[in-house]
Amino acid sequence: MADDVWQADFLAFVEAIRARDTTLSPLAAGIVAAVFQGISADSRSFAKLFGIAHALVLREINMLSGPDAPLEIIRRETRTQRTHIKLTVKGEALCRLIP
Amino acid sequence: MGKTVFIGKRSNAAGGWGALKSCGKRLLESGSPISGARALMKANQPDGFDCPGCAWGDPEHGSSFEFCENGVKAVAWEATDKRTPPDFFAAHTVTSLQSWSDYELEQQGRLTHPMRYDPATDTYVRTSWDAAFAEIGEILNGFDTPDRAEFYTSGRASNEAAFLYQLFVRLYGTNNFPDCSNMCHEASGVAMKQAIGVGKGTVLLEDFEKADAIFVIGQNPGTNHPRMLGDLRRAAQRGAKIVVFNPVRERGLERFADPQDKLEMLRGGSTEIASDYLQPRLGGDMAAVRGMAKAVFAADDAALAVGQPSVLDRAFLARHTADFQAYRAAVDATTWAEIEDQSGLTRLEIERAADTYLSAERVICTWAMGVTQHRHSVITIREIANFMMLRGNIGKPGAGLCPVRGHSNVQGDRTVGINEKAPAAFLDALEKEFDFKAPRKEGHNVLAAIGAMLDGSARAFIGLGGNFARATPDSPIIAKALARQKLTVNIATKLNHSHLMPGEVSFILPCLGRTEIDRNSKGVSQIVTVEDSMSMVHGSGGINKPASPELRSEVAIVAGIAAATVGSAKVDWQALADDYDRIRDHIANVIPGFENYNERVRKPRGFHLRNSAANREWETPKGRATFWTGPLPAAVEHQVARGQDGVFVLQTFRSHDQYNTTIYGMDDRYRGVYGGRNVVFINPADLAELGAEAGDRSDVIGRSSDGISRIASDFRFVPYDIPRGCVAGYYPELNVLVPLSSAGDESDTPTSKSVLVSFRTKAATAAAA
Repeated sequence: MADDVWQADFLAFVEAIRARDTTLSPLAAGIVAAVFQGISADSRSFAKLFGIAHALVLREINMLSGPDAPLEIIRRETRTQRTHIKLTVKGEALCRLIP
Repeated sequence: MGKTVFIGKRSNAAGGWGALKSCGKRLLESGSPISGARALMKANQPDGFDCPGCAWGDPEHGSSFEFCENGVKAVAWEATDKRTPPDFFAAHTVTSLQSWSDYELEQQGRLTHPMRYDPATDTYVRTSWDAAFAEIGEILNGFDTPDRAEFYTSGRASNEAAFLYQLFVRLYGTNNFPDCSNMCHEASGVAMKQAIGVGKGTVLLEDFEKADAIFVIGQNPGTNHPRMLGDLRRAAQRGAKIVVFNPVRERGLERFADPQDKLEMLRGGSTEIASDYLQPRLGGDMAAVRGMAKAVFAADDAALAVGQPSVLDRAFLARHTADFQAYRAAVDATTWAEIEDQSGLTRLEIERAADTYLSAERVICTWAMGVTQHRHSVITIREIANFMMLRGNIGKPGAGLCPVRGHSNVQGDRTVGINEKAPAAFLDALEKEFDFKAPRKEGHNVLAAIGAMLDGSARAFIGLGGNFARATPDSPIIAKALARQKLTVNIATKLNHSHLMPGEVSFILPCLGRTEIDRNSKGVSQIVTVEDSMSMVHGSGGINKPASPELRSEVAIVAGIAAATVGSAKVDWQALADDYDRIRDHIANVIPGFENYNERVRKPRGFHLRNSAANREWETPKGRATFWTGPLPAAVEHQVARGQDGVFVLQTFRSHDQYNTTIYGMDDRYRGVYGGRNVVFINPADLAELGAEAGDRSDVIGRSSDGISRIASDFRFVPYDIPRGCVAGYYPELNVLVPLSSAGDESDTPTSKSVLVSFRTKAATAAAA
């Protein structure tokens, strides 16, 4: 798939997530989308792949995770702060088609 | 937006890297829709994150913490999962905790609740924020004069916390502001103010890309400012010369492998940093710099004698400086014999360094505590400024003076008013902004505060961060001073020894760290701001969840104490704590250079505070950059020491696993020391002369002339590449040997880099027995 088509698809997906949860910032929705699509499942690889400062990704993940949030933190590497994440049931639902 | 379209999970991971990075840019836009063709709105980017690791500049604000060993350690230290809850305090008396090491205390993790000392059980017990604030306010208001209280500030405090703190303290009625700057770069501020009219460095990070030569004096960036090594490395790779003056051979200054350079890492290679590494004796820097000036004058005389152009920047000297001829006379009057003897360097070495200076059009000079913690530090820095002025190396691109600060906001705290002798213009503006009469009497710096606590004229110590008792000299005396207080309050993230020297009433108030998300009452995360060594002011928002729901920000804690002490008639403390933008608006109204603060600080990299000297405007009494024209000191400590049998000059410094008083680990890998901190680095020839060998143990005895007995017990010798007669070891362990009575002329900075000591080896003691 051409890069520009892939990019448009991905961003459309992010927008779709945000349309369903208007509290999410574009970056937060992007992280959710990337986990859902299997692009990255930790903060540092997401930061590296998307060229975003790791600190900003960490902040989003920490603000996003919790009992009623789309993401759950699985573990954190002390030295690098690399934070491994997965989607919660809410996060999975957010990414699936709403009829 | 209309009905959403399911795209679904992909089997192949992603588009190319370019597409991912392009997506990343769009995700940083805060507006909607993101898929539109709207240009990246930088002003709307997420708030940055300032690395708490050091005060070096940050070109890409946000992730530098993870590309720097110090940054990683600083963030991980704060983000630990360990906690020190009330149960911990219930299980350990203060007396028992006093026997723990600094490392062991901090390893217990983050403080979680406000605690009050209970003398009956000798433990800290949980209290409420309101009760703590009320009691602190009551005690502070019970003193006969506000000057009974000392308000210490650590360089960690943000601009917002520091500004609010100084406002509260001045409304309370005193200028007692001991701060950590008093113990590090005070001499730089004093000397530069005298020489060029401004107490801050004149360079930007970009200047390091343009410099032809960089002189690094009395500084170990590999351990203390690792990101600086990246800039030095890039400078070296493009051919700039780097001349190092450091008594100790520091590996990080010799070669540096950038962990971000994958090729270099794969090949196991590194870049040579120092093109010339000179090892003066402790306290010999001024003589070394004067020697270089002497060589420059000689080169100038030689050039003029054969009809060549002057090697000096005569136009700069004529237009911008004062007292040049008097300085020339002072240099002429200083002999090479004096210079060689005091510096510990040969004339040849000094002339070689001067040649590098002469061959460079643009020169930067950096320095740190190897220069600032001597008795004659102020005149040493004046000499550095003199030297740089000779060829107009101040106020032009790629050149300038660069004192490299340690704590990430120590410079900013001073800018926003943490100053025991604040300029009248600042106090005038503060009075106007808040409609009150600020105290004008000069307050206490660190040494004066300790003196006041010891003689009983001070009765309260409030510490906004830091570990006062361990950072200051003569540790046992400080413990006594704190224990005599009616009130001690420590605002902190982790337990440290300063908390274990309670006065009559003592509180530990746990605060958010820089890495933690700071939400206001509406749930909106707030940013704080800091100023780096290049006078860049950055915004910084937290990235991690707070260690405990009970934690409050430093701003909120200061506001709480202030409201309980001076009331809210003049200042609505609660409203300011709930919206830091309002604090920044006040700062903008009070301090020149902060106009449109809230807008500018949200731009990537923030903004630069204008430096008059960098623009060749000289706010000195003479209206010009002014040469210092005095002689070298009659004798520095190593010259004093050699006249006494078995006496050495000791400098204290950090290990690689250390950040100020915070001990991350027990190793110092650059210096090859593992698993222990009670060591003394010594020249192998000196070690042999003592009849000792590597690893032998010895007590270190203070040799101050004040008659006070000072002993650091059971230290291990480590042979090292350090000049004869000079030894080194770690603080805070060796602070017991640093005399409170020995301070820098004009700076009052403890002379931690020139302490006279001798050794009592265990073998000799056993033999005598």
